Amino acid sequence: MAKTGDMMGRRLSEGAVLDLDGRELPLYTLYQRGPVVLVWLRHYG
Amino acid sequence: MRGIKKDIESAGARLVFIGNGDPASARNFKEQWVPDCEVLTDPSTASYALLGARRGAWAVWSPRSWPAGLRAIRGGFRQSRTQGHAYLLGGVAIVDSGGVVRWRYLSRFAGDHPEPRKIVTALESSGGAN
Repeated sequence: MAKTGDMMGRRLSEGAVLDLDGRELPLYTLYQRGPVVLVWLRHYG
Repeated sequence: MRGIKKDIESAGARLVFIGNGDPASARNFKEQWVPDCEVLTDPSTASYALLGARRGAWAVWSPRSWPAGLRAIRGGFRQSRTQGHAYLLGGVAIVDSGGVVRWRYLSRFAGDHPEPRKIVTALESSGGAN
């Protein structure tokens, strides 16, 4: 695996997002459940 | 992107959208555009920084974004009031269950998205589920 991918994966493990109720959700909980395609949107509007 | 949801799931993965507005905006987005998808939000934009997403007025208003804007209008999309950070671009990452990023695409300008088929191909070639 590309080193950059590993590095980014480690960084992602430190991040967090919010669910629709505003609860903090560590990013690692997204991929711990299995592989995931994450799409970061520019904005909602 | 939503059109490849079934292909993504067939490859053993999930499709998750992350925006940058408040949770209420994320909920509206989900209800209006992707009711069958998982939607989260990151008002801090910290995860965008982890992704390496580009930001800046020129990235958003670059002339390279104009054809994409026209395509969106022709496709029936109209940008409403910006709900989130106006000068932040997005991207896509395939992350395996060990947290390794298998594939990544960073938008270079507004309206720059990866070809959905390429995401599926990248997912399948990375082994899909593991």
